Amino acid sequence: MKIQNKFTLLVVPLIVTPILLVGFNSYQYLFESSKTKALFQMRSNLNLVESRLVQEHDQVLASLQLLASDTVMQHYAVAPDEFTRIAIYQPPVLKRFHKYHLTYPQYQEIRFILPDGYQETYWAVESQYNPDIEEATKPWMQHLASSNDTNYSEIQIGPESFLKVYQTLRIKNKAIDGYHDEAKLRGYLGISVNLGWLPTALKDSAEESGQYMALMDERHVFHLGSHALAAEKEKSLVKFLKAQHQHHEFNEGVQLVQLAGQQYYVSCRRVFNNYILTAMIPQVVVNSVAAQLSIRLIVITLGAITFTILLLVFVLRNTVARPLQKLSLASKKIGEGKLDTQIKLNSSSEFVELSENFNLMSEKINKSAQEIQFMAYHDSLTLLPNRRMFQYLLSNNLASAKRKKETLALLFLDLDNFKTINDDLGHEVGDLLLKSFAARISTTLREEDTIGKDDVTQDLDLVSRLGGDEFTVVLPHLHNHVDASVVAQRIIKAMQTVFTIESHQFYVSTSIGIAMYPADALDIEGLVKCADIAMYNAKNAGRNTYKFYMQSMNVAIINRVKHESELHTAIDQRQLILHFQPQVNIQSKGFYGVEALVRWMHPQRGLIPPNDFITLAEETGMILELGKWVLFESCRKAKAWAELGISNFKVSVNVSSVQFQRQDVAKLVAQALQESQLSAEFLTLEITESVLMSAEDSNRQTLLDIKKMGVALAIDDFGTGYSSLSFLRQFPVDTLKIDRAFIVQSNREPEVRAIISAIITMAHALKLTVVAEGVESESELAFLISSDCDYVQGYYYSKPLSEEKFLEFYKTEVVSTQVGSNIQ
Amino acid sequence: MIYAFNRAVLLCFLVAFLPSVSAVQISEPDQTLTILNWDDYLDPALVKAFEQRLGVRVNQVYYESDDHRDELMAASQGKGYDLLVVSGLMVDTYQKQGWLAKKSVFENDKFLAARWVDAYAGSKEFVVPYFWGTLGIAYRQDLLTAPITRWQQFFNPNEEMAGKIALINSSRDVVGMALKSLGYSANSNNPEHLNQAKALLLKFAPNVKTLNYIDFDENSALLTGEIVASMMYSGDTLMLQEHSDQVRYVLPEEGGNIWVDYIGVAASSLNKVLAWEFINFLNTPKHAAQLAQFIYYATPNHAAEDLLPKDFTQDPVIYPSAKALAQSEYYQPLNARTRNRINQVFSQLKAQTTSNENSE
Repeated sequence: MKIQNKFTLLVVPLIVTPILLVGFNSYQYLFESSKTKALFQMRSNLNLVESRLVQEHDQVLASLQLLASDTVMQHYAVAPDEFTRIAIYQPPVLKRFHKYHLTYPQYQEIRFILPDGYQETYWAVESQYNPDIEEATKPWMQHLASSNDTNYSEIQIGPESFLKVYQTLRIKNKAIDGYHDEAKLRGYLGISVNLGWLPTALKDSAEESGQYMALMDERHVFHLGSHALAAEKEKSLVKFLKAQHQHHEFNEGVQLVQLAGQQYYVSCRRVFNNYILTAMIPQVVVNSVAAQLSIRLIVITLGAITFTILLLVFVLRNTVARPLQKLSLASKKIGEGKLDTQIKLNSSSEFVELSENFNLMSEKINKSAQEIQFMAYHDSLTLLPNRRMFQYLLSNNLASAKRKKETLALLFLDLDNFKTINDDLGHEVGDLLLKSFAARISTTLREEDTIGKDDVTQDLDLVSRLGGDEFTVVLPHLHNHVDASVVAQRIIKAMQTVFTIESHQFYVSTSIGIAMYPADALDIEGLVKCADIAMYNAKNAGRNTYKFYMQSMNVAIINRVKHESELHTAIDQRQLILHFQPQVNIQSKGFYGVEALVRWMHPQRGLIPPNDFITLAEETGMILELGKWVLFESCRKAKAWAELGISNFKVSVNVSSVQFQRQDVAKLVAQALQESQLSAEFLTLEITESVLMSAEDSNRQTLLDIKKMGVALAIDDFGTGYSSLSFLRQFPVDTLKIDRAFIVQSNREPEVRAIISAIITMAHALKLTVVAEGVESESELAFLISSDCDYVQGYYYSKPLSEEKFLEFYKTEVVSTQVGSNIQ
Repeated sequence: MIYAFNRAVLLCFLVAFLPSVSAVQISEPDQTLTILNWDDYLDPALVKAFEQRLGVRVNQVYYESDDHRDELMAASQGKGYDLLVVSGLMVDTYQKQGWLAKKSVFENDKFLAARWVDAYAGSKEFVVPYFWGTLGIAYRQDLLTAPITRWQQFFNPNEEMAGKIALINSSRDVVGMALKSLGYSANSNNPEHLNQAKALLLKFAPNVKTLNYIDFDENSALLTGEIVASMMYSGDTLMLQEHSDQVRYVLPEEGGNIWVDYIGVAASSLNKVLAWEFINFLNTPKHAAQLAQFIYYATPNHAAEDLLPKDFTQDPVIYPSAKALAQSEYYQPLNARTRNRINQVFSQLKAQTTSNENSE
């Protein structure tokens, strides 16, 4: 069961019980008070009618007494003979009667009745005029005649009701009567008052409160009711009233009486002795008022209960259930991965504290998650977006560019010679360099925010690191190619400032390839490929430059890329082979040795010349493996030849400067000799001038170590570099190989010939032997002979030969032409 | 009616206080006579002459109808007056009340016509005839297309008269003439006759402008045209004719009432000798003739009659012909019940006409 329901079940009885109690008590009170009110109303109506009757009566009586004391009235009454009374006194008396009517319009009849019952003087409104009534037998007269009462009141109940009051007129005639005589009865004065208000008053009172009101005479024969009553009920009421009337003490209180099977509250008053004014109201009516009230009360009570419960539920929901629900919902959201979920509670309960803690927890989780997410999408070293993020960002920018029909540039950046730096100075320095490099690019871009950018906020994370020394820059919202080239130029220029990493100082350059959307490609893959191609192109163009992608680049680079991957397989699958170009002693014409030259037998394309892949191998570092293989293979071949009986020759193996930078060449040579069991004097290593030039102590030591092993050293392509002969003295070099460019020119250029002569002379002076490369003609040979060159190599004697061909060449050329003697 | 009452009260007031005031201010008034009389029923010149001759003062209290006089008498029980001018019919009643002093012998009594002296019960013993006349109708001939000749016309008024009729505040006169218009005797004791008279009068009531006897001066309502016809005593018409030729008097064909006024001395008078002297003075033939000419009524003094000019004695209004008088009646005493009934009827009529007056 939910907390809310439990709580509600617990609290509802606590609320409902008091409300019900209050409701019940209120009902009882209301019932009593409504009953009291109804009965009070009934009695006050009764009092109202009664008091008005009495008031009316008192007024009439006062009028009668005033009239009785009037002089003319008295003269009239005592006048001895009838004619005198009538002829002289009656007119003024009638005039007085008329004036009373004018003052009290309700006085409908005013009369003077002689003691014998003859109505002598009579005034009445025209409608009531009825002058000839003998009153002697009337109850009022009988009553007044036989009692000491001076006045008598009666109510004539009928369609028109009248209050009739009679006053005796007793006057002493001073002229005739003696002093001690009693005042004689001279007659009676009577006034009839129209009770026109009475039926209305009864009816109104009754209608107002649902009661019945009636006025009855003593005999209960005539009565005036507020409305018609059922005969049976009326009979029952009359019976009750008769019984009341006979009581000595008249009960004016309210009595509950059963009349014809129905309960009534009855109250009655005795009026003018002989009349009873009654009011009654059915108990049902009284109760129905209370019942109406009680229905309202029940509604109010139920309403109060409902409202209270609803309020309770509402409060509970707001203070407990809803916060709990919110917390639960928030927890669920976090479970679903919406880590930025926060809770807002309006109540001021412990839940707020809980929610605050929850929010704190949620914040921490969210922060960690964000960090994790950041790491997943960013490079940990430079904190730049990584390849995955780059893809995402580029796709966003592309989509935007597509939508807005804008131009976008993708720049591929590569740190020139980074591998070298990394190898030389270690990974730590390399990493720091990458960091600085990234920072510098970012700074440069930030300075460039005026170029082609309409919306700066969208251009965060433009720089990404794809891995190693590969970076990309996305330039959205460009107007044209020029914008991209401006950025590229700035980046390149920014590299002219020296990098200081720890104690080291470098100049680093970068090659940039640029691909444009939508000119070059329309999708991410296409753009990336184009930018990559353009970058390689920039590298080929001599590095430290930028190149836009062009369609033509594609084929070459595709080839190159193909080669790069194929080269790997070539080494593994032994597609590489060695060719050998013989070197001949120029004096003896005898065989001196061979230069081992690597060839790539491509399964599809056949033999690929070294220039097509050696540079590639050097750039990609494959030269290390390749060089190693050439060295080892050369040593094995030489050993094989030696065992075939070919003796006293030298096999020259090229070693790349890259190898010197990144390999322990001395150790490698030692391993090769040891593995092939080749004697060291058969081996010559050909190195370029650059090895000597860029060499520091390590290279010199390597060369010394190699020399110590008994391996000869030759300077390849001498004359193309900047080394001087005197410089060569510092190294244990045995041979100079003059570059073929000199030899080719020697035919036409005397100066070249002089240089060649000078080189040979000076080499000899330094006890170095000289080998001329690329000798192709008789004249060249003649000149070299004349110049005292030691050995020649070139097409004049032989092009590079396969092992098989070489062995054949050796048999035919050396043995048959007796070159062999030289060999021996 | 109220106006009349007020005036009566005012007069009473004057009567009560003027003598004492004048006693202090003027000469010592040896004696004062107070006469209860109709208005304009005594020549002031004669009064002045009497006063000067005897050095007394004569005051008059006016009543405007027989009923009014009775009421004044009833209210004061006949006290406060020295001389009473009373209709012949009431002489007996008054003397029975003890309000009239016995007649004293006086010199000029011999000139009075015996025909009038003994006309009513008690008249010979207590009073002397003053004047006689008839009760008829005064009307404006110029305002009516046809002259009035009958009571029937009067009590069943046409549109010209409707609401413009004046009565006299006198029950016997009004009910009596109503009876005459119905063809009955004004002295009828027949209740049925009275019932018819009552019905006639209640029907007639709305046409009654006033019950107050109209004035005779130049401002009279009959002269202004507010009233076009009025029940009137004969001589009063002649007073009005002094102001206008358009007023006509008719003794209707059904006959009117022939009345005789008497003058007597009040029983309560302290100046009875002087009072009789005044009566004697009035009946000096020369004085009586002067008085008759002043009030335009026929004098019962035959010595005076001889002194009157012919146009006076031959005026048919003052002296109607025997033919004209043939249908006219003297009021006879009625039985009490009839008198009572007349009072009741008149009281009913008054209740109706009062509302007319009040409404204006």
